[in-house]
Amino acid sequence: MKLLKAHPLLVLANSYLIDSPAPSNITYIWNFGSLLGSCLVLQIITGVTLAMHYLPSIDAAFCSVEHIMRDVNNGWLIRYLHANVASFFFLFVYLHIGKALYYGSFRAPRTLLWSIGVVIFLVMVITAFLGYVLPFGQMSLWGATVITNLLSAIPWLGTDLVEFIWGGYSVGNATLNRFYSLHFLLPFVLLMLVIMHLIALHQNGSNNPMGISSSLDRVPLHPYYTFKDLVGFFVFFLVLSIFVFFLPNTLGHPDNYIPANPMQTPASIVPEWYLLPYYAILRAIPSKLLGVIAMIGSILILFTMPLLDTSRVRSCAFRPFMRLLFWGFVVNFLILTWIGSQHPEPPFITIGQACSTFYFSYFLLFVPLIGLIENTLSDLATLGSDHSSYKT
Amino acid sequence: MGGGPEHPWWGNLGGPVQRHIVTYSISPYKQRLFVGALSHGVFNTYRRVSSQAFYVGVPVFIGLLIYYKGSERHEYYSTKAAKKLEK
Repeated sequence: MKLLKAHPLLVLANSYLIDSPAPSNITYIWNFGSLLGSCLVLQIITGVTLAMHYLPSIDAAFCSVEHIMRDVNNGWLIRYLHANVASFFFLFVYLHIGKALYYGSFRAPRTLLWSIGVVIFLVMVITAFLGYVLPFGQMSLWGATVITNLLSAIPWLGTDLVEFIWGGYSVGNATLNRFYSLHFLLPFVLLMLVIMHLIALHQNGSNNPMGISSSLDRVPLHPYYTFKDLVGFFVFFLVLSIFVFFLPNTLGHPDNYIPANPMQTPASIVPEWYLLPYYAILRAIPSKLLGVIAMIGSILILFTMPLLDTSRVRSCAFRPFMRLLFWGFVVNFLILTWIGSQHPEPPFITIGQACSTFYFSYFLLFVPLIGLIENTLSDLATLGSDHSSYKT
Repeated sequence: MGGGPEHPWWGNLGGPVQRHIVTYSISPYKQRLFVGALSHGVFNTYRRVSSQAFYVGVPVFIGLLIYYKGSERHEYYSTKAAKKLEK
């Protein structure tokens, strides 16, 4: 027997990456899983390398990053890679989640896969936020101040909790040190979660654009999808190179090139582009506590998708109403991104509130309701025919 | 190896048992590499994209409308005319 099928470790590689019977019709939209894996590996390699020169102290952090940029051999490349891959990481994760929502990949029997995915996303958001604080520029300090202060909205223990997280009475040396420590740790937690995600995926394999599982029409993962994934890698590395070599600071905020100054608040405090939608939801609600609950809820609500989807059909390929609404959700998410980048002034406040309402309505109202409507319409259309689901 | 209801493994895919598998390949001289490149690569892609245009187009149009009208309104609020109305 071939070593690949006999060796206790190689058999895993064979089962996951080589022989796995994959649906024959999965498209390039399914590339984002492997692309996200490549992002994580890139971030860990560049991150560990940056850690060799970075100094986590409020006096030295900013200068050590500039030292990496100017003096360390190819340090600029490592740092720009780390900063830009973070952006692509989120771009891909949004497309990956979008794919799952569109094609119903969150539905049974893949609910465990989906739930682990949501946890991964949550850990990603926290890791990215912690990483943004490390260069200790103006936006690092004030972003950290705003976001950690959100916890003070928790009744009774809020202030104590925030001071516990700070390790003092404001964002200071202790805060920067613990954020660095956690920013180093969490990617490995993420790696473990990704392995769990793959184990859960392997249980039922990939979904496909039709949302209908075929036992017969299968192809081995290698070479069919290993090479299809390679096409994605090449496109990713090409676009990433354009950003790293020609537009390295386009996705960042210029204020983070000003050293952190606790005596001077920037004109506007904004997170990185990939967290703007959640920032918009946070600011849509005047009450601080309710705003924080809405912001966290906007991510946690993804957990409920398998329960809220009432449709009998898995993929939006066969669900015209849901498809229209899905694109409405995508556009709404983009508008929230735009609103998050603007000052809280009229009419942006109203637009932000309307879009936040639509965001939650999509999950709590439209997904269950449209499922029921589509089920009813399909029942009416097939009533009395051989295809009727009520046939006895 | 798999095990879930939607991930059967080789040899247990549910079809007729396969026996006497013959592997063969077609001569490169007989391969028609660009068969369907126009009809499927161009016209069918156009057909597939245009069939989705309504579903993507309508929300994008509404989104752009909100974006432009919102920006316009925001600019208006910082004009003298708007400030006058506030008083």
